Amino acid sequence: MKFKDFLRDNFVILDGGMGSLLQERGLQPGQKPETFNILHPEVVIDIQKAYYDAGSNVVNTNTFGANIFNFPDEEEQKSVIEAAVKNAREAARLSEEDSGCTQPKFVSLDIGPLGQLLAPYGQLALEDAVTAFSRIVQIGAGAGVDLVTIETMNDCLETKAALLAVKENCDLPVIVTNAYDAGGQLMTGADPAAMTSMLEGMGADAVGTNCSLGPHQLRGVMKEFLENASVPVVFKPNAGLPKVEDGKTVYDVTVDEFADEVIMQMKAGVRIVGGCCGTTPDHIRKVTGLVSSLGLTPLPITDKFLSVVSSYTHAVRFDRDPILIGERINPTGKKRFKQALIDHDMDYILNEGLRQADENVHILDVNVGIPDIDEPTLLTETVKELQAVTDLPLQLDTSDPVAMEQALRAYNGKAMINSVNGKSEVMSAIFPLVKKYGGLVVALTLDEGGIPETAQGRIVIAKHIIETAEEYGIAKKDLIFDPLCMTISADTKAAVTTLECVRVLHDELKVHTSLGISNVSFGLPKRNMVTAGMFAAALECGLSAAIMNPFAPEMMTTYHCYRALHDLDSNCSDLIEFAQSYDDKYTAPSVIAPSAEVSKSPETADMTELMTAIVKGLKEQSSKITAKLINEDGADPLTIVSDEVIPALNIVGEGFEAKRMYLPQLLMSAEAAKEAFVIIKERLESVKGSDPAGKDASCRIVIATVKGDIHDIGKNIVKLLLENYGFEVTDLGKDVAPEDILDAVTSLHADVCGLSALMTTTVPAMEETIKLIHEKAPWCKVMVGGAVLTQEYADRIGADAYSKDAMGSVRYVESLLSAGGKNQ
Amino acid sequence: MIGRGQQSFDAPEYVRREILRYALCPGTDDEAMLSIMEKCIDECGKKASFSYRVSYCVLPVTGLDVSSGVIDLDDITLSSRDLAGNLKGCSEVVLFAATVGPGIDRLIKKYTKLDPVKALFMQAIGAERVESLCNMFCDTFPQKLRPRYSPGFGDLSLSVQPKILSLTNATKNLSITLDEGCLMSPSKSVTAFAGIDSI
Repeated sequence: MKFKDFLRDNFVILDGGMGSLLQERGLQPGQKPETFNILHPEVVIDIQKAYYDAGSNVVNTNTFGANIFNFPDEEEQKSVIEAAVKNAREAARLSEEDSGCTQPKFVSLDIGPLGQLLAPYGQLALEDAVTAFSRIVQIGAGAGVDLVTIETMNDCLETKAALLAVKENCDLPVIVTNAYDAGGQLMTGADPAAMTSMLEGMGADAVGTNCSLGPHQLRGVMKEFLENASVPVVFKPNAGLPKVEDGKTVYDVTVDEFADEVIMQMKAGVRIVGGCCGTTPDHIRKVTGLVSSLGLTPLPITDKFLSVVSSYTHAVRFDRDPILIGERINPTGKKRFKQALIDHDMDYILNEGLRQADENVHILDVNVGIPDIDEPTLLTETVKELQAVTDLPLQLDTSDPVAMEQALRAYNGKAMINSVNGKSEVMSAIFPLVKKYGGLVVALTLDEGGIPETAQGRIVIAKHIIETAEEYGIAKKDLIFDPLCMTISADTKAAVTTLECVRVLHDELKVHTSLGISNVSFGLPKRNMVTAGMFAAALECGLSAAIMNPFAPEMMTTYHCYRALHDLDSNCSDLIEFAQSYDDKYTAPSVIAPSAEVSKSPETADMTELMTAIVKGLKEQSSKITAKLINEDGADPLTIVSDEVIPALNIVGEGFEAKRMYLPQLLMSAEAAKEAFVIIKERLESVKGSDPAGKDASCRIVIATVKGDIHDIGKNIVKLLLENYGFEVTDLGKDVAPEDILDAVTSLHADVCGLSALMTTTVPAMEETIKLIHEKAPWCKVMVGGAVLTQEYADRIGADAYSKDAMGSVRYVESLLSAGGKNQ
Repeated sequence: MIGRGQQSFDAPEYVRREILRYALCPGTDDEAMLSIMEKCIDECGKKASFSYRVSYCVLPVTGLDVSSGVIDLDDITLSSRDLAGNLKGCSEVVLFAATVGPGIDRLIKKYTKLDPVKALFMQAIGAERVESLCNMFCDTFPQKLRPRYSPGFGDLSLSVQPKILSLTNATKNLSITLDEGCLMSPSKSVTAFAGIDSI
């Protein structure tokens, strides 16, 4: 019998713990359990046979850690996995023949975590993880297993890597279980709804939890799985937590307690059960005994018909409550954004994302398409960078299928895909990607013939898209229709058609809808007013989501009112919070009241308003006052820099050096000065292509954290301060090879190179870099800093200067300039 | 090895004095600083998803020579004069790995790019969290433990980290991993020896 056929109508009983039983049978601490497959096959077979004897249908191969990191010798890895499969098969045979156990028996290839954290937390790249898992799958599937189990994964992205490897290397059924903590999250933050949405999207045959806690503590997690999963749910808890009692390791849940709890979950709908750490054949025997004595029969598996996307922490479900998709990461019509893309100014793009996140949007649309740009690379990089700083799900917005695939692959979770339409060519390019990586696809109701003028015409296309998706195995729940919002300034009937379409899609086709709503007001005055009106009307027709501008107060007002009026905002609490912050947020203060906001203290008594704001580290004030000085008082931007900004920074710098002020205050002032510079720069650029922010371009500085070192907070602070003082700084980032630093120094003909190292282990790399620069770029002075360095250490490795802190680096560069020691 | 265990804890109270110390502004009463600290604590509450977990083992001290620094703890032999001095007179030692999880690393990374002051405070909060966790864990023992001693202190090299993670089962239980330089991810993790005095 095939595993999938068995699963359809039966409970599946898995095995229990392996590690602790191996330890009882002689495995030493620190010894790899998988080596027993070859060294002591009889021990492994004996334990696995005991599980089959106790009633297990599935026993995992002893390959939890059989990855390339634990077994760098490929031949050894291969023999360990092959032996593991052979042992499990032998255990099944012996149980059948010697013990007369006749239940269906399957062998599952067990895959545990790699023991390396994936980026952005750790160093391991997604593709390297996929490669590592692929090798296990190839060997295991080749040795003849019935299914694959991915287990104990505590990171969403690593789980994705493992599942991709399984799907790309075999056709076997696959069970995926993750390790949830007491708060119901994976170590890296995902909850069961998020994991379910991603794993189902990628085609896992069953999902659930194993390890980490006892069965009682996982009740909440199981409830979430049963509510969200449309595939069978797996429950494989520990026998509680281990503790040391009277010199022995014991688990705090008894066999009976364990079995009762597992049975309770089976009654609630769980289909696949077993035990993890601390469980033994006794636990399994107790469970199988209860199943037969109680005459328990499995509940049917039902599709929950949920339309969801997810990030690496949570799922966002499309339902009655409207979903806001922030539209601002998009270069269309935005000069500044286009420039950021050309300059590869990732911080600007990330900021656009984070600002929208602050407005409480649910999803961020990500569009980085401009002519002559490598969109696949840029979109993928943007997705990774955004996911390192925000936990919002992303909507990948590109018409380039190559860019779409690369970004989908890198995406951590189940992405929203923008978009397909009724064109055959587009559907045949995008639907296979949806099938492989999972995703909720925006389907535009247009096709080769363009956009139908009537609602009926657009509905016909929608139906065609639903049918085609089905052929690819993509359910209706994973489609979200955009019936296209056109501007009413060109055609006053446009909105009527769109609204009618939304209504039919919602009421008759029972699908979710989304609109790029801002289009409606194109070419009209007070656009936000019109757009918000359209938003309200569309919501009343059943609209599920809108791609919109969250900075428009009109839109947010409509959103909050709609929710409150439709009983989607309990106690109207969100509306009240929104209303209470409305004036502060949207009504600009008519005059700046320095005495109130920038209160003067003795040390700031003689300063100007702007100086006070900078010294006190008030970003917003600094920006507003600078704008006022330039726009209303007609002050010269460069005079502001020389007479106010730099003197203010000096006051703080001196305060810091005299230990009257702390590092965070120094940083806050630097940030406040940066805000002033933003305004000054805008002004200068609007007047002429002038040197922004008074940068002293005659002194060029390159900075980097040296090879092998990943710490960059200190380096970033140095950069910020140097820039504040008007120096041109090229930041090469962290973990930079000596040759790359030299390249930058040479090509920019840099006057100063700043190197940072936090760890003693990376100081040799720093020394190597210094030697290289001194040899090949003798004009360049090298200054060093970082936690492990001292003046003496810096002298020993040949640095020209040592800075004990960020101010020190400013002082050093200033001293070079004043001494005229700078290369011209 | 005498035994192995694993424990989860509820969130300890924030010790703001310690956060300020780690943020390099000890004892400040500057309102701006305090307000940023509170904002960061608030954001951690929503986004850091701290979990407070410890994985440990108890080892017998089977040999200890302060002058040479050779320490035998049943399954492992270490070489550190400073640790030997710290463990002198102990019959057993608790070896543990503690972590508050990687959520804070993401917040640190986020603010490293966007707001260096907040990055500094996020670092500080993470440090305070994991130290508070270590204190809670050490307080669960009926015996009074010696002050904890971690790799990187004195002459105890970071190179013992792989051994510690293996003995405490910390990679499996807590998902702590090491990079090439033996630094831990999640970064807000601690490994330490804490001696138990002979009775």
